[in-house]
Amino acid sequence: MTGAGGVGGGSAAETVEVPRVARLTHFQWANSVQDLLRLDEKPTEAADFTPDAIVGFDTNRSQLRISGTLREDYERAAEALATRVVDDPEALARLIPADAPTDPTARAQAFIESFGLRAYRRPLTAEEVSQYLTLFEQGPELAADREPFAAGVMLAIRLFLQSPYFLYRTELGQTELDGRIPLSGYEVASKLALAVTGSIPDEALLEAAAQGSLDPGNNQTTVDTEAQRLLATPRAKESALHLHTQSLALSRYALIQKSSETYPEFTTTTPASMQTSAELFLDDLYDAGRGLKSLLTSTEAFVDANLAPIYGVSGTFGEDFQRVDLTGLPRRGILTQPGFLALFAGANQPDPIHRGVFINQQVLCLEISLPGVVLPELPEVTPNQTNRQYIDALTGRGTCGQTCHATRINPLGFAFENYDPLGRHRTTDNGLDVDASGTYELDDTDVTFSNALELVDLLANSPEAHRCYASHWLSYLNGSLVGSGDDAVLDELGARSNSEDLSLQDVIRSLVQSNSFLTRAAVEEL
Amino acid sequence: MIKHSKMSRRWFLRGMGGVTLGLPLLDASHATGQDPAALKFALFVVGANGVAMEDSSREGEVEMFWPTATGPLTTESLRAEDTQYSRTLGLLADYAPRLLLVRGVDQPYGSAGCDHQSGDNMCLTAAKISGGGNSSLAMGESIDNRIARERNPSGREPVTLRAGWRPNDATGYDNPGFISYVGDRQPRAAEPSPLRAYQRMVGMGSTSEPDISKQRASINDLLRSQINDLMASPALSSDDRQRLQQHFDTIHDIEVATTVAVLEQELQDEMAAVDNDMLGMDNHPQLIRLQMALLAFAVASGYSLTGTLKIGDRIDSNEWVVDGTKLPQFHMISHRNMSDASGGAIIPDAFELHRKVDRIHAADFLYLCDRLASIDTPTGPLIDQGYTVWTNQMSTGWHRHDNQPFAIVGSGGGYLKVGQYVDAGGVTLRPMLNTLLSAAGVTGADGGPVTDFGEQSLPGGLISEIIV
Repeated sequence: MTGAGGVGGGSAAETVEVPRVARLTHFQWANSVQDLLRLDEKPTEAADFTPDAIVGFDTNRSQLRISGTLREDYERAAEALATRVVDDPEALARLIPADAPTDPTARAQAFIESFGLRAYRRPLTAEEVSQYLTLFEQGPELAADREPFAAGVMLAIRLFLQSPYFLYRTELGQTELDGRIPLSGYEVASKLALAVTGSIPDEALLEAAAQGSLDPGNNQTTVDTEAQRLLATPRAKESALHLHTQSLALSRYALIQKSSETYPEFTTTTPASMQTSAELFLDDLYDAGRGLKSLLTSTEAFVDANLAPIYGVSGTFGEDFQRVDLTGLPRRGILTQPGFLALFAGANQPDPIHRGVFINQQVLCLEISLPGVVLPELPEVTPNQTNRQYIDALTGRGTCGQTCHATRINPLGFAFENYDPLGRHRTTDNGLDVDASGTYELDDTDVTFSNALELVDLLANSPEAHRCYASHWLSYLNGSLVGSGDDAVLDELGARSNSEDLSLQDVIRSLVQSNSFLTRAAVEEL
Repeated sequence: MIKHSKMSRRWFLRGMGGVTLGLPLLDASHATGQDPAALKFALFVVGANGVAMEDSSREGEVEMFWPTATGPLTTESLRAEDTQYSRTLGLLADYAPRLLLVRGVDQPYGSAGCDHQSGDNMCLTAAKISGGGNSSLAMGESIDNRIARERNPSGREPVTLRAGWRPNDATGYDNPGFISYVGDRQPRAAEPSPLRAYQRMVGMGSTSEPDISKQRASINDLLRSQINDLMASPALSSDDRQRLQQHFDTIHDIEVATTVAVLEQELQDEMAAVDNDMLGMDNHPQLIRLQMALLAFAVASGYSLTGTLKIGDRIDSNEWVVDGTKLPQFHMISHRNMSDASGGAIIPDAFELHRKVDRIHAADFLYLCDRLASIDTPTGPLIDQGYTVWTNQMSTGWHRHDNQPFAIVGSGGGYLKVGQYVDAGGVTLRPMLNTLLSAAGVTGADGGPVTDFGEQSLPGGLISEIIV
């Protein structure tokens, strides 16, 4: 196990300065453009954008750059969307302030100022308004086939959608306070909206910024009020699922492959069912105001005809998902759902190594690194050997895997040996009883468990797991990897999330009021 | 530095089914010089999971990849390597006079967590690795980036493709296996969809506004002004300014042409069909070839002189069909057991199955070579103007980082000494990549060959045995 790794002199511990220009993610771009242009549907263009090279969550701003192909994508999208809007009188009318004057120039200015406020997530300066007006007035010359006002709007929208002030969320304050630099009121509004809802600030949030309620100094109450309001919106629930899809690797469920000969229950639509079931589970937790404890231990599941035989539930199931209470069955929380179990499984046996690595990394935030240059030779298979016995012979105590596997990886993976490669519960393996028991150092204490159900209970009550969960959220909301400067807020929130069974919404509310969110580090340029 | 060619590009598509010609994406200046070096291209195909070469530490894993002896290569000798010794590289017999095989090139560092990822990080960069686990990154730019930066029209980025399954939004746990790097810890994502990559190359999806060029020019002027204003903010760091400068540099006022260079309709139809099921294993063989066709098209159309194709994701889990039988997942084959780690049932003939998968990949590489060879230029087939490389993120299935395989077809316009199989004797990647950069027409600061690419603390220089 390592926290750094680093080969040839490199080191993960090296500090990478957090950029002060944070490019919109593709998810944020689609939401923002829909809200900015007041479209009925999300624009589809983002699906075809040049993919980002991301390590961590998609909001990791250090890796969100604009390449040549992405700029061309933005350009094409801006052109297509602007044309679409001005070719639709109703869509165009939605963008013009109701009280806009009729005089063409004044009307253009009213449009630019109101649209610009939302696009830039702050009021435009007089010079910026002038720049857009100049472009607007070129409409008859540059788009002679269009009605002049529509031509001006079209050109202005194209520029707005490609503008660096739209594409990047900025943190340009410089005044230091207690060793850190607070974000301005509009910067807070912008960051809060993009973090919580994945979109631009709505009018109420912009108004709060305009009133100075989000300005540095004493803004936590307003931030909390606004956060609570935003967290109740569908966009916030969607954004929460967007984070969980990444932290729990849900989109990888689509890659699950099983032999239909070995597993007749497995169909081509089973992976999609596994992913949808997990998504419904997470949305349900959000709606119910639940937190990590329920994520790990809830006995509720969403089951369709594909999943019913895997869960081992009786009844009539079709394509639609039904909420099922699994009390009495050996299932509790996301880690005993078929998607996770089938994703980390081989063709004919579970894969406790990768199950264990995933839990270490994603549930406990412990970095796991392979120790050797080459893989060890595979041992001979002994007849009537369980999967656990075989992997123990390869990686357990007394082998080269003793350090990492025997104490960190295998115990967590073996706990799930009661679940076969499809995620079905089993009590025997190769004719022998399954041994899912283990000992693991959690929160600096050796804990023991007899199976996965006991393990997930331990994890659900572990400050370490709650701290890890909070750190995922902080990383996602901030758009940066967590650093040592975040320790205080994560320690405190991890403990509270555990002791008070905080909801996800409460975790987010706490984080967005923290210094880690509302200020940036004052880093000296070398 | 951009070198120019005055030759008409019209001949470029002859022989590959291209029909409609025009230069919509080609910087006009690129097509106006007469320097044959302007045609030097460099394409890189990178496999995963290693190949079935000898691993003396593993019982029964004898040499099945490299030819039986170093030295000159002929069509006949390579054919014998295939038919008599079942060596995978024997399948490249038809290209023997243009073929350069180089063994004995070691990746400079061991694992920094996931071996697959470590190999991806190093194989085209010769750089150190930052971080660990599943999120390590290379600490330097990759060879394709350097070539594109110096030689592509208007500095256009290299074409970066992959034939894998990992959804683009599958972030948050590990990365898909980056091999192309803009710079230190700046990976470039690969495009998994041939259709999207193709549409991007030919500029499809652009507006039909009649005055679009004038409109773009006006908007681009204002965008440049806005980026400059933002860059002037004293609050920004040098890193911020660098990323904004990168943004600024992407803005080009390129004329929109009314005609475009296009790929055969049949391939376009296949791209559209595959795009409907990108994750389908059944589409994987077709996906690889479509991406290879795009690499050739990118060069032929003047879109880019360089590009990469990663076969698979960080690992390659395809289930290949051989002789009508579906094999276990390739990654499991490479681990010799039915799991992605070590817990599954032993696959008794795994090494032989690995060899069979290698042969499929070799045949795919031949397809790319055939595409390039079918394109005529005034100075001969396009394939001879540059080179194309088949390599792997590691050497054997046992996660070894020594002896990264290099099969190179094309002499880079006469720079590389082809028609031979060379053992470089355990040099690090750095001189290998220096040599390949030089063969691609990139020069060092003194105007001579590149000798200092990659990690500076490693031995630099060139591999003289493979240079004419």
